[in-house]
Amino acid sequence: MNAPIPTDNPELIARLRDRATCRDAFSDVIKLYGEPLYWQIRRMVENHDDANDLLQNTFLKAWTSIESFRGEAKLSTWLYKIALNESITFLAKERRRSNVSIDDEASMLTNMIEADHYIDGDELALNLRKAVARLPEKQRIVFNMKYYDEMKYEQMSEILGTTVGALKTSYHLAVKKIEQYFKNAN
Amino acid sequence: MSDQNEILDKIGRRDGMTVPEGYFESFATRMQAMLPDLPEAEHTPRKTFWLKVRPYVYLAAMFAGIYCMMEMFSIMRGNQNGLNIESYPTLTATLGNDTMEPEIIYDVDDYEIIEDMLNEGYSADDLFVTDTTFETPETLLP
Repeated sequence: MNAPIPTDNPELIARLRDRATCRDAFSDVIKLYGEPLYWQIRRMVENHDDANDLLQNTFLKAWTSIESFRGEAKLSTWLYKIALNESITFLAKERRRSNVSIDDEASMLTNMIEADHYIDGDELALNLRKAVARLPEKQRIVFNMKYYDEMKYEQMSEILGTTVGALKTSYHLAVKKIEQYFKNAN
Repeated sequence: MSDQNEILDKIGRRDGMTVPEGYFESFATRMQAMLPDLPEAEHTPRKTFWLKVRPYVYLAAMFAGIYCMMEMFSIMRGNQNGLNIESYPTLTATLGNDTMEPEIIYDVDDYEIIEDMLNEGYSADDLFVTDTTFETPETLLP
């Protein structure tokens, strides 16, 4: 399931910046960015219900802080940052709630994957999700953005505030670890 | 750094995840209904040139006032010759008196005094108080 990230529409941004047209413009933002943001969040939290709640929170936060966006450049980058922040905060809360350390997050995520009802039965894809769940958080984010969303390193760099070189290294390491996971599984 | 991977190529970006039927359409409708009203924007008066420069003008006026006050005090002191030493004739005379010498307190040695007294004819009995002097309390009486 991939929904490409829409490119920033200057007309939409102009409407967002105008208080009179802001609400209508934001409805368009929800329609445009809802799906790609949902998948970004879902791949992080591995569960539809949680992803749904976090997507709602993302849009609510974006709406209530729309004044702060007015000075920013890219709408997509801004929304992705909020969504990612919401996902990371949620996972940290879940770790605390379940008394799980960051090193044991993989097992927590694997349980979430197995408990997820909204799957299409693709075993190979499911195994890939489990392999990705074993990656450190940063590598998991980078892998999801690059592999599933096919995001450019430059845009990832803007969202994550990391250099392109570091992102390439993270992605390379993530791919190697996934490869190793499948080798061990066989 | 090649990131080509047989498994990943085989999976081809499938993640095996689904959503309930019509989820995204209904989400957009629900989400729009959930959006609260934005708070009224605060009315900020348009900044005129005077409003922009006003703090700097006030600051400059304050420094100018301080400068004027200092000038005024300086002029007043100049008229009264306030710090001029010639305004205080007694002090000038005292400081200009060559005969005034600093008072020196010498460190006097007790042994030197005793030696001088012995040389002048005093006996040891005159100099030292013996135990017999205080033999009876009456000796203390006149």
